[in-house]
Amino acid sequence: MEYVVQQIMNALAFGAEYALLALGLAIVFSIMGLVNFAHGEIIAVGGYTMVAAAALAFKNPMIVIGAAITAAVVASVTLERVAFRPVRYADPTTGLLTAFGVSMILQNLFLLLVSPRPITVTSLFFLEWSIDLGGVRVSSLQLFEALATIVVIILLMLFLRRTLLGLAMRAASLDFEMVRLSGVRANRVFAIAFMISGLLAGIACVFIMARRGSVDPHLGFDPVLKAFVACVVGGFGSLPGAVLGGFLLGAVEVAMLVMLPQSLGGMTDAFVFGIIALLLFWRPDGLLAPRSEKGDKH
Amino acid sequence: MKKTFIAMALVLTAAPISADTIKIGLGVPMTGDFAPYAEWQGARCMAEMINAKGGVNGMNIEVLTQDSGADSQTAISLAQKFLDEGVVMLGTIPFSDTMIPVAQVAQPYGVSIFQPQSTQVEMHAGIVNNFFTGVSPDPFTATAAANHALDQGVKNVVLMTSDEGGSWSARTPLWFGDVIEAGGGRVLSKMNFSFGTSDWSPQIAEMKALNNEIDAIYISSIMPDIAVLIRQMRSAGIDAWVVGSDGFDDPSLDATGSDDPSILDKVFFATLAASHADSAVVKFMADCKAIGIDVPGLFPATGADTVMAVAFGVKQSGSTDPAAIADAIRNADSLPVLTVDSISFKSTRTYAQRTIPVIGFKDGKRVLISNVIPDNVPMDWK
Repeated sequence: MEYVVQQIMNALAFGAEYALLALGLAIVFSIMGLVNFAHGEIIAVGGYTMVAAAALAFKNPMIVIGAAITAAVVASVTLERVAFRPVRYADPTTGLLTAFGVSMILQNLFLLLVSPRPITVTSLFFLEWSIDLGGVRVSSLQLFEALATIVVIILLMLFLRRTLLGLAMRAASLDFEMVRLSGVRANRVFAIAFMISGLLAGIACVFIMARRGSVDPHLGFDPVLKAFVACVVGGFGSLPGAVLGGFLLGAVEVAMLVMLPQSLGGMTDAFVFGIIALLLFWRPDGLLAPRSEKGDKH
Repeated sequence: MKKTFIAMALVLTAAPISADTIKIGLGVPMTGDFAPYAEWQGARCMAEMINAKGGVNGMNIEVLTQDSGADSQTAISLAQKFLDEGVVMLGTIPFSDTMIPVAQVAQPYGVSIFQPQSTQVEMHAGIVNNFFTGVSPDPFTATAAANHALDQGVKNVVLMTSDEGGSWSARTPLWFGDVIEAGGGRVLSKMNFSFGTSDWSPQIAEMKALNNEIDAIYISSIMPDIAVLIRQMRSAGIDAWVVGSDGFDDPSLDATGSDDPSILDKVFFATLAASHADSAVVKFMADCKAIGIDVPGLFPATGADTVMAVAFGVKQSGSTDPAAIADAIRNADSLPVLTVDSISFKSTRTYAQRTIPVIGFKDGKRVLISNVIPDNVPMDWK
């Protein structure tokens, strides 16, 4: 029993990380229709900033964390201004290719200007210890990440539902032209979306770095691919869908990892994606795809 | 006159080999996931050092280098390009799915591949024979690690396997388990993992559910995954030895213990070559730095072995004919290289018979635990 509870906790922890990353992708997609594959490199920017902050002898881990999150937000907003704004009204394929291009350029810059090797940062190791929860030992980092994800979801919902800018962003996801006609500045809406996305990337970066303890040029690429899958499962453009997709993906991954016999170990991903394909057969637009209404832009 | 001119032109175009240089072509990953493991910096540095002392038989060594990424087709194209430029030896990615087609392209030219890091047993299945791996295959490293584990009183082991790294990550743990069982130990469980894992909680929960005292776990994987596994195991209260292969051999593992060196106390690995503080590899890296070439770690340093082997082949054969160089290398009783005193291909033909260093940690610093050729290696791979 204890083992089952332990693995359920692990699934929740996996899901929390995917949900956090998927939210970062979904918030930009819901407004701009852009799948921002450079989201992973924003995470890497945060990681390299941690290296720099630690090297500059900032022993206080709060400074290291603050620097990483700030750098991720700045990088995200900068990318919106430099790379994505010029293609804002272009075909979605152009945006997708731009995102891939930005991702590759940043990865190669990390390779050439920093190092292809992993660089260790030990500043956040203190975040991980073992906690006994009624006989079940869980990692403190898993708890922190799950709590952070819950807090982020609540704050995001409050922002989107209780603030004028949040209302503008929700409206923009349905009909951006109408929002502009109502006097809302388009640039501000896009910049805020990327700022929130960068903030989410920065928070995810803190947990990824606390766990991995090192940064390399591909730090964020694989996690963002998983987040992309979570978004697809949940329904692209839906923030609750992104969260649900993240937790579902985490649960399926952990289940396959521990349930498949060792002889089928190499098939773990095949089973995970097979289950996801079955889900998509059932709900081709994802589990919580935003409902189309008359007048919605497609 | 016209015929003479055409004949001269044919001779000139058909003779790309320059007599005053010995060319080695390295189509290796200079970018991408495998870039940290490429050997080009060490090769360039060793070539510079040999050239500074007058070269080989009066000829300089020239290392041609170009990025192949991790792409087999690019590596094949680069091999063809280097062959057209007259190289006498090729280097490429240390994976059999690239090495085999590159060797096939090189065969008509009489050129061989020298891969100083390849440990995969697939290469030695007899598909091609114009290649050398400068290190011994994985069963040797698995055995060296298992022998030391048995010396430490290890009885119960857990094996972590993954199909993603071929036999290196899938079968090396099994060879380790074979030797442990032959030594009276027991394999408690085999668990799956993927490269890029940053949360080992599911596997750690499985370990704790075994209810047996685990003495050691064995994994053949890469950094930083290994460091994450070590920290998460310790955090979960599992104090077993963490044992592994050459994937552990990265400076970032040492850096993991910079705040708390004790985290590495029960970690050891069998690897390609000794790279502790007093080793020839570390001295070589320092010497390279002094001449302005950064050789960041053991894997990049192994390129020096490629260059030394070619230099030896040219000197012994007195020729720059690629086939003659390969013969000289293959038939030598003892061939001096950087990463170990000497290697030999005389009895093995394709892989280097050499000692296998087992590296551990004391106070966070690497220590050489043993360095012998194990004599109880499982041979089910031949």
